[in-house]
Amino acid sequence: MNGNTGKIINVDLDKGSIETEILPEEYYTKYIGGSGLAAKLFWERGNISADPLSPEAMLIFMNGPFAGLRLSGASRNSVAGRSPLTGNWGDSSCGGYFAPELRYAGYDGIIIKGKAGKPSIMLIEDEKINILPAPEYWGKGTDEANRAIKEKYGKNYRTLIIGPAGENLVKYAIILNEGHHAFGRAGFGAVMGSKNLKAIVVKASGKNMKLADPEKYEELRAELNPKIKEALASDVMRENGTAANLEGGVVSGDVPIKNFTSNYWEEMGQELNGGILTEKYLTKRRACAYCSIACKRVVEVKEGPYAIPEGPGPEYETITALGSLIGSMDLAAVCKAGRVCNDLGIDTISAGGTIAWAMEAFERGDITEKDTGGIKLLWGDMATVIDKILPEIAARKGSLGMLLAEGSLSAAVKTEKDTINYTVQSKGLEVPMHDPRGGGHGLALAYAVSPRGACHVASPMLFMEMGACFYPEIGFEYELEPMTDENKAETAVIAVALGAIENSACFCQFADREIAIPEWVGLFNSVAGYNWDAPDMMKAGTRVFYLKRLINYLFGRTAKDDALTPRILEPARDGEPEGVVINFEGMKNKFYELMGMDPVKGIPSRKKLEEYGMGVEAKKVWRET
Amino acid sequence: MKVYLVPVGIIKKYMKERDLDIEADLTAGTLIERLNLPDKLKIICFLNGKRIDPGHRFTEGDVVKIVSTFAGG
Repeated sequence: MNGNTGKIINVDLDKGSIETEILPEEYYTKYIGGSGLAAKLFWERGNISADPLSPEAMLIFMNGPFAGLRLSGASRNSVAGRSPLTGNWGDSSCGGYFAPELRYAGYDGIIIKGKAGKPSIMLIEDEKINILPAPEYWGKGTDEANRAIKEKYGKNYRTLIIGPAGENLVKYAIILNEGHHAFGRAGFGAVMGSKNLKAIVVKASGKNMKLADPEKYEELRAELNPKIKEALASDVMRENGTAANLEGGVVSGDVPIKNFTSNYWEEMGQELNGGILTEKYLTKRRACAYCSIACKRVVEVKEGPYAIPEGPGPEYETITALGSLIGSMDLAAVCKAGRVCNDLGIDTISAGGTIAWAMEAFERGDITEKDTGGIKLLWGDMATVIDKILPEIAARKGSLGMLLAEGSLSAAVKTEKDTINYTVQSKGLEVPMHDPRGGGHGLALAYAVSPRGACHVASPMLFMEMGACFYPEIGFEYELEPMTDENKAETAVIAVALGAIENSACFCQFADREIAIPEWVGLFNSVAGYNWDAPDMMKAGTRVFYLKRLINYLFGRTAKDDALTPRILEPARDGEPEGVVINFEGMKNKFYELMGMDPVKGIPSRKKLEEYGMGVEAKKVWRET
Repeated sequence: MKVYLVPVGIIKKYMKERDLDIEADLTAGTLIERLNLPDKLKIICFLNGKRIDPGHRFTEGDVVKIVSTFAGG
């Protein structure tokens, strides 16, 4: 096989068995790799009725075809399976350094089932693969565990580690690479924890890869790397990180404040932006493997109540989720809260979203000190967030920790009051830090139809609405007005396919904005020899989107679940979008029609599935007709 | 007539706050073109906290915020 290794590792922790397997090439040409290929394998082998935290649950790590090929942004990895947070299809992408090392070791992916008898790690050294008892790391934070593992095996051994939150099955627990890069969303840290697996460690001895057309690939790489490096967006993010324009987002009304109750807080925009982070706390800029953008931050807060030593710094999502969303404009506190989340192994977006919901519930009197174990939940009280709330969540300790460890939707249900209305989530996944009322109405549609729940990276809709990219070869050559529903459904049809391609190829959306459609096709053909044209590639993207919809249907999700909670759909209360209401149903209905999706079942019609070469899959979901 | 330009966020890299003499019939769209900001940046003007259309005409003393749609994730 060209490009991909074609080989995966199957681990059964119950039996202690480890086997490698060669996948059929058709799996790659139909589902690409990354989250798409993971969906194919889950569809084929997953136990739909299995609890995501049971031994039967599948935990899948999958590379894309470009991992390790020295191309900016192209060496990410996907984790996938059934999300313990949402109960639906879940996937999450991570940059860093794991994907290339796994590729160099000879594998495209890992499928893990079962549960180890005692806390363990998985060690991959080329063809030598072992599950090793490792109780010494259990209970440790990600930073300490990462240092200890590297000390034992070597600093070039690449690590995926869970923190105490994953061990304690917190449903939005993360998996962290190199102590800095996160598989942040959908709770796969808890799935790893449920399998008694503290870490996966990989080291390769060589870098042998077989490409379909190495010369053509090198030509493309020589063009694309400088293009990505020199792009204006890359320059901006290299200088001031992903929060570089947070202040602009505040003026537009894109940045959520206090559980999405407000869209404008001028002073916060001036305090929490990436320029201030650079000025006050940045010590180094860092990059994922082979990436020239270097948007990652290393920070140190030297003094004050939130002093932290030099280490991983917050990105836009973390700054907003642990800042404005919970009523704080204290950047030092945000840096510390982000660091605490990393070490405990908690997703900052879901943590921020869940705590913001709890703060609003406390303010309204829907939860009281009786529910929180005497802890007052006050907007902007970062000391309480850092010292009490986050540690209690990670430990599932106390009534507050127990209430919040399963996410905002579950917490709202437990209150037995009408508090779901002000959770801000779709399909149980907390909404990321762009408010569609100020960021772009198409984003509301993108959040709602995303298979994993509210997600800003399931498709590039955000970038398409802001005019950051155009793709004339596939019909996206028009400028969008973010604040209307005009052309949003039509654009979403293109966006969901592109997003599926990106997430299956495991490409970073910041880097691949600079890649034109013919270059995408050239990459797939020169690396993997697919002999695609642009329609073939887009068809593969749409097929991946459809397959994830089918998986969700088997979990009982239908069209009614492609929804947003009322907070996002009610008129904005202030700021630029004050009074704005999104025509969500109009966009959704049009999108369904254009995608050939059944308005009740929420899945593509049998005819549409057959058109996409999914006749076998169609039989499973349309057997009654 | 004079308007006062306030760059916001990443636009601060390209221009400073300043008074600008403009013709009375100058539109927001033409003003943006004259600022010579990078083509890749989609720019929106805001007046009193609200975005204004490219065809909007200013009045003396307007404070105009210049914002890019650029966003991180």
